[in-house]
Amino acid sequence: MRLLARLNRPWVHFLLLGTLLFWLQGRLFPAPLPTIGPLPEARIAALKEQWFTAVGRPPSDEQMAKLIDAELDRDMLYQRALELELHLYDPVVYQRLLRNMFFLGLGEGMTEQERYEQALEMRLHLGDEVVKRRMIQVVEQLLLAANPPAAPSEAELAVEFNERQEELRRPPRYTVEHVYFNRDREADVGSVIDQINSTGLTPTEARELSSPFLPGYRFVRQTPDQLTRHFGSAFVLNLLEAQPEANAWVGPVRSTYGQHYVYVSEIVPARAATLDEVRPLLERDLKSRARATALEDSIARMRQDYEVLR
Amino acid sequence: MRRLLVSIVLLSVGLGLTNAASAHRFAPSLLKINQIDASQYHLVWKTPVQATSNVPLLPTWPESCAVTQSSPPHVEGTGKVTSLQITCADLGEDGLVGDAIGVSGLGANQASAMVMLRMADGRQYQEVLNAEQAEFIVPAEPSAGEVVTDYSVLGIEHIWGGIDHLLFVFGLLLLVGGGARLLWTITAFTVGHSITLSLVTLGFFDYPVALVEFTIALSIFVLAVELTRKGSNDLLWRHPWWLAGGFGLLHGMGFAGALAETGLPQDNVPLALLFFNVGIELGQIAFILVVLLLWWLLRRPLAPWQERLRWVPVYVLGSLSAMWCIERGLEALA
Repeated sequence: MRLLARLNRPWVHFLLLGTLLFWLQGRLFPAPLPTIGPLPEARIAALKEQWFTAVGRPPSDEQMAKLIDAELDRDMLYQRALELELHLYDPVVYQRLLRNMFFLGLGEGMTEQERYEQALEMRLHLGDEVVKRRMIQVVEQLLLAANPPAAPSEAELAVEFNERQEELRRPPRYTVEHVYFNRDREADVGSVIDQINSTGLTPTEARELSSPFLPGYRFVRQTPDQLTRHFGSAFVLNLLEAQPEANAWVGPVRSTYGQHYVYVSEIVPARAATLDEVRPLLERDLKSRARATALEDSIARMRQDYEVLR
Repeated sequence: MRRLLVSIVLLSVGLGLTNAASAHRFAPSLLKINQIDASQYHLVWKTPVQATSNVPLLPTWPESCAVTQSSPPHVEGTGKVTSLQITCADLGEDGLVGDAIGVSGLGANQASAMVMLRMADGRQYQEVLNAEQAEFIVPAEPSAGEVVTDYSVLGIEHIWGGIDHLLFVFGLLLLVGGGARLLWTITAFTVGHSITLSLVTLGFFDYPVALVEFTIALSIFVLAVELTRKGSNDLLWRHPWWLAGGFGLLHGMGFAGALAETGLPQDNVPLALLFFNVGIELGQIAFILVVLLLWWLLRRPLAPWQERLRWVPVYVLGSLSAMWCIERGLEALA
């Protein structure tokens, strides 16, 4: 009773009533959400221009809507970075603003810190695209730290592995040696091939009869893609059409460089990949997808904190 | 296909970021303008050598201005500098005042530009332009008469718009009643807020805004608590101007925030400050007169309940100030 009597003071009443008013105010008159957008015409025009420059034609309405949504998300992330005052603690922003001040020829005779503070005072950080991108990057990192993507489980890896069997299939590999005939020697091709066959020259011995070929003469366990990089796609197409067999000569095979008489010493046929072979690739893809999803979820939640005007 | 296109755009943007450090892309451009005489201006235009789009970044000025001299651009570090002279014969005595100067191509280049303008009379302006605001209208400097009226009105508007300040004045009214004591107390409050308002505005010291806003609310709370102790014969009741003057120092910092948002005319800073204070004072007096008038009108009808209603204004003051203390205290801690 004595405690209650002690608490029966006007200042205690004020505090209780103030708390009640504070609660009522929050319920009846919630603070308006900060607004993001709408984008001014000038920025929409700039988005169109950037798309046109990158793609070579104007964006469709749907593409434009997506570009605007993405830009509003960027504005929101940047707004959050400014609310958290991340620009005050970031070395990249610090260096960037110093560089801008130097470029503008401002703040001569000042220390770096003074120059940086003047740049902030002049609000240079607000108009700088690089600062904006950096701030967005930092906020994304913070969002991911708060909502880290789960590491891919064995079950997910197995599902991914099964779904991508066709894509992950190991290509065939060919071990080949060749005798090259440049365009000036096309007339000799038949006679040289006859000589190789009649005398039973080994590929190494036959190389003496080859024109110089810079990428080399022996290619071990090469996929069709790898062979394409050395010989061009026409060669690979012609070689495969000739249905080569192991330990046999094939050709002449035409490439963009000339003609080749090819000895195939080994053919490893195409096969399905094993999980261990593609595990790093699958893990990387799953992690990247989980990161994108976690980020998208976090951004979607952040949209609740703002009124986004399209 | 759409994904591929978006990837291309993102990739190109990403590459832009990677190269930014070395080539200083997206660097701000600089447009420095010096007024030589009534109609002539010297311009220095510095823009990054490496553009980020095909659209050129170019300074713009009123159509009636013509380039009379220009130097070929030269490379200075990672920038390209051009020096120009323009003559604006048809703009009249005020020259560029009221006209727009700006930079075109900011949006396409995702760039910003700083305009620095120095007028012949010594006035200087600085503005950062971007895609959203690509132009800067050279402001007219208000005359002394305009400063007097504008800043007086601003002061009145501010005190009438700030219910916390008005409630404090109301609390002082309750504390001292009418007469000469009220006059001295209100004057002490005015002196207090004029001192800090002037010192902060002139840049003599800075302060944490959130903390000051909290202490303003606290000052009203303290005043309300003091009002509940009426009858005690302590120093505050006998000399309320100490309380008014002391808390006036706090409220002055609050007023300075409002003035900072408006800005001060470069040529008439003392005049603007003086009449902002005068406006606050006029607003306070008007508020007191309104309260006294209301009291005069309601005194008789409310006479039978006077004793019961005596605590209503004190509790309104106390409860609202407690609410602000909680609200602003949380903001200050955030």
